[in-house]
Amino acid sequence: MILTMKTFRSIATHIASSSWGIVVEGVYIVLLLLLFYSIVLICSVLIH
Amino acid sequence: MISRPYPNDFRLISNQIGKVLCGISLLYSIPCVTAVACGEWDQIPDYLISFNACFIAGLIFIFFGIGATGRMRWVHSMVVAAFSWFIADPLCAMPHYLSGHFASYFDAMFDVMSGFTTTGLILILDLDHISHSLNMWRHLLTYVGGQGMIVLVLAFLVRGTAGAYMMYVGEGKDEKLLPNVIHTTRAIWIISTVYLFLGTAVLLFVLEYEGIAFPRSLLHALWLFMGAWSTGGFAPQSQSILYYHSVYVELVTLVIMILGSFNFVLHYAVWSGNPREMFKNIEIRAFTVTASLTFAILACALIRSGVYADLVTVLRRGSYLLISGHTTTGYMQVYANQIIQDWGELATVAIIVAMAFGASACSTGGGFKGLRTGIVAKGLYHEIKRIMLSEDAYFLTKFHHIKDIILTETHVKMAGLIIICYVAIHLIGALIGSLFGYPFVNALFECVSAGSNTGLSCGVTAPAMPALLKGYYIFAMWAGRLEFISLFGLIAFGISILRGK
Repeated sequence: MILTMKTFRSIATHIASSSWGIVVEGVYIVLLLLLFYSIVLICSVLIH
Repeated sequence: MISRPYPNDFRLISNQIGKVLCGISLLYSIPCVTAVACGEWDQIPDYLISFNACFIAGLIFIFFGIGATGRMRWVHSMVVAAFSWFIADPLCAMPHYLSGHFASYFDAMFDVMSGFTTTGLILILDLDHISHSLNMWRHLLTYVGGQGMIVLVLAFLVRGTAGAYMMYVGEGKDEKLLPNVIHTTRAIWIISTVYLFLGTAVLLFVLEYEGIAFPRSLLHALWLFMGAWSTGGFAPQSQSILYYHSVYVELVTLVIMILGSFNFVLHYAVWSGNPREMFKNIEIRAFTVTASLTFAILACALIRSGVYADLVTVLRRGSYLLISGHTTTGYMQVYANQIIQDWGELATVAIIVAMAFGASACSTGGGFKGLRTGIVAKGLYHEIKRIMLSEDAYFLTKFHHIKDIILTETHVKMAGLIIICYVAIHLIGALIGSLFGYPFVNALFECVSAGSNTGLSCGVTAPAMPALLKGYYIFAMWAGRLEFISLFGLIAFGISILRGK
């Protein structure tokens, strides 16, 4: 894809219009990592 | 009665394969520009020779397809999808081999298939000292492979939509984001390009913070993004992510790996103002459950073995490798032989299972896929409920994927059939590996990694491994990436040539 100003503007528009969706995807990943952290704590308690 | 293919069938197939090859040949412009920008003048002839070979091969196929009439059928599309990958493999391996970093042309083909299928297993020699342009070519192949080669051609080269949807399905992507398949393929590239800019920018910032000088930091940021987003797992250094010794690099690539493993249909739904889909979708729920269960086993194994002194290290090392395996990326921040030797067999089994489950359907990842795992789990739930209720009771089981869908026997049967195919290629590969003298767990780990297009290695994959095993891994990577659908089409076409009347 040839990177022209039009392409950059189009990508910036897409980022702006989809920012809410990107935040939602980020929230899921944060929750997943918190779940992993709690799993480590539970496993540690169970094993020790 | 099985009918033998007519010459027109071969012309139709040849014409489409030619278009795909011509499209791929245009990709050589990117490493060529990189070579010019980095002053790697010796490398430029490699790309020009390779471009010519690929473009001329494409023109030859188009020439043999002149005069093709009629519409593409499913079997044609399947053969195009399956064959394009196999023909593109040796043609794209030329720059690899000409670089002098491979022991044989077959090894170069292995790496290219690994890139195209977003696997990440490598046979390259002295990776740390290859040229920037070759690194760009390696990562470009895996980035394009993640979105799909035919998707690329459909998005930018094909004008008509006749047969386009069938080729799109043949490449292992069977869901449409938009009613028109050309628009769907363009939407896939828009999503990937938006994240390419965002992900590269964040990684560039992190690498600059870690002290890597510009422009090396920019190139590494771009390549790490391509490897993580496409769930390919290629990295510019032989030590993969371990090279950077940075928790921030691990965190950013972890996020990109997870994003890359999501279904493009899900990305599109969430971006289009349907955020609840993120938490209702069957694939996300299946991924959350399988990742949590396998991580619990891995965490127990790591804590019990005492290999790491504190829980934060268990979380950091364990979650990264588990997510890397589950999203079928293959980035590693531990040494290859450390997994089985230090982490133990229980941890190894947890990672094998995670790799086998894999990413989402219609994503850049491989494996069973979350959709199939979820459907089979729902099917089991349906059967248990049926036994519990009275014989006269009539009930429906639904699953949510963009919309509520009533679970049918066909859904469960198709999902189960593909999962059986995956299990079969994993077990056959493990048996072949065992026959060559590798311990069964090591052989199973490596074959699941190849078949599910993950790329984690416990040390089996090496230039000195037997040629038959290399050949089998190439087949497993290819069949696993195309999710067997095109393989079935190719077998059907082969039978019709031999047995048709």
